[in-house]
Amino acid sequence: MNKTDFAADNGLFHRRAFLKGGLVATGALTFSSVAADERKAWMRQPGLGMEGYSQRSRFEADIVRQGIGGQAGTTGAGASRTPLEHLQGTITPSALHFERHHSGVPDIDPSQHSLIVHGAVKQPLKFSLEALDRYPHVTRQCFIECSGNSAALLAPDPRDASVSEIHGLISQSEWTGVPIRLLLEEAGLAEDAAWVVAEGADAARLNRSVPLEKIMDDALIALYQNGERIRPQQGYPMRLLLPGYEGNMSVKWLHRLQVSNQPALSRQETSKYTDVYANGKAEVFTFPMAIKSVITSPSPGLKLTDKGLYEIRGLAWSGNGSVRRVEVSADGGRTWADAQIDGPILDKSAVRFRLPWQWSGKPTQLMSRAHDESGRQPTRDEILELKRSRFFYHYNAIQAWQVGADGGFTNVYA
Amino acid sequence: MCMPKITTPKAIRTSGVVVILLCVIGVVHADKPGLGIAISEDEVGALTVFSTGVGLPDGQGDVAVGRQLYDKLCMACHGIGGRGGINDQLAGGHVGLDEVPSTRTIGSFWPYAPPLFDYIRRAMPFAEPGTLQNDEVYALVAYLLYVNGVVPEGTGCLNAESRAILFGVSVARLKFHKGCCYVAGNASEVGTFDMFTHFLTIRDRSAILMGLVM
Repeated sequence: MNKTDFAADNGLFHRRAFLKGGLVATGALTFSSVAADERKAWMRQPGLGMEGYSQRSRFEADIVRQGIGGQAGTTGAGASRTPLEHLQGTITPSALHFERHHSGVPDIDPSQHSLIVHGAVKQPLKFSLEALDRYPHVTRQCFIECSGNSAALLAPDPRDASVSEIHGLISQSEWTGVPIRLLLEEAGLAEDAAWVVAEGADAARLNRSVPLEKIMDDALIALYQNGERIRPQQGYPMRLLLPGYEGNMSVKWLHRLQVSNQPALSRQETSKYTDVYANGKAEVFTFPMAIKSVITSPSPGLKLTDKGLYEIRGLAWSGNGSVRRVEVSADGGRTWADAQIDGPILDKSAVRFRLPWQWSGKPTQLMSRAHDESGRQPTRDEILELKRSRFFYHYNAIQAWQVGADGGFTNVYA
Repeated sequence: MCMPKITTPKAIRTSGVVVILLCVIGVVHADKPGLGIAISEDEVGALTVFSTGVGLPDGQGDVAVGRQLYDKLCMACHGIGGRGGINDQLAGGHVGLDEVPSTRTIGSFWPYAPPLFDYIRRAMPFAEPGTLQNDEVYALVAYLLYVNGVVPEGTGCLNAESRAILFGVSVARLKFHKGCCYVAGNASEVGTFDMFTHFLTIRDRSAILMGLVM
């Protein structure tokens, strides 16, 4: 091993150490005694036939959403989390997208569903799903993150929890739909139009106020998720999509957009989804999800089987723009190395980062920190200094994983 | 017409020019599909009640009726008098939010009363949303403000002047709990919307338009 291949202490390689070739194997390869041309059971008879809608391998059936919990005395009011430690790339399979419902998943008949645009407009309009399908569409990739994601890390002592249990309220999809700007231009905005109150067709009729600027900028009526119609859990047959904004505002099962000269200041934007500061005041309209990253593997629940070479992998995202840089530390934050970021790096989208690491077999801490146009991901102490422990939403601090001598991982506060 | 190089960048640019020209001479209206069906505002029946009271329906209800409704429909989840239930605590927590821990209830963390009406009407009772009449919602609002010490039991009646009284309650609450106010966040993102300015605007409107004395 050439010493120049290391970019930081405790075994962190340069991000391109493998890609440039010539890297010497750090562990002894073991060869299977099974001959490569042996016929396994599934090679001795024809396999299954074609089918209309495929399922994944039965050997992957235990990769499911984690941390499923609901409010007492209710069904369907709660959350489930994406199993981040078992996924790769940047697109979350639709069936594993995190869920946050306020009164369950409605079973909407699309032929009886429509979108109404009204309020401070010259002509209120109603759009059927069929009509919306004929409007110019836009396809884009972006993450959706619940602003309550990672709030478990506000507990005074670190909880024994996995990356998905702590950070699993983020998922990313490729969304396709109609720019809302087109619909509002058709209805004609009144002069005093400043906000748009979006309402869902679930039993909670959840409503949120969105600044008109955001609606006219990049908001979509999303009809498709990862190429197929949006899943019921994500808002079938249509949802509001506000790239980079806290997930609660991307109202699912959307059926009404009320243009107004004022925000509703509804329950969801005052008594919930506001941030209390140390001075006892609550901040409203904290919409974008700030720069954040987390190492998804290795992480709690996964185990290093032996000292030697591993790839540290994680996700980084910013609702304020795009990820510029991700650094990784393998010595508890003393030294840092730049991680490899897989492209393309898109606006308000999560990226996958990776870095080769040689574990010495000794206990240490792994951390990642991301940067966007507006700055660096904060430490936990920096957040608590500003907000103390009274806030709940928008926690985006650096996560540390403690590696034990046994190769196991635990959640710790750095 | 044969265009073998249709997918080259140059050919795409050329066809782009053609489309633009067609738009200019008015042959193509690609920006307005115009498939929305015109409806009237009355048909919409929007539920939204804004913090300023815009959208509040006519109606009436008082604390006594509200208590009966609450005990029947709400207590199982929210506890006796809004405390000690299996779900959100609705009453109490009347300390400043700079206390630790802060208890967030209607009394300590709802800056306006009209959205309380809005939320109950749109989403409660949890298992049967949409079943309450407007008068019942007003009564529940009155009761929940009463158990939070915002309106007194005897005089907390919300009657035909309910719009005005809800404005009044909204303002009174902010005065009552000086430690609790919202501040504007992220001004660069949404413009300079300031809660405190907003609050003064409500008071002015109430005083001027409805003759209320604060």
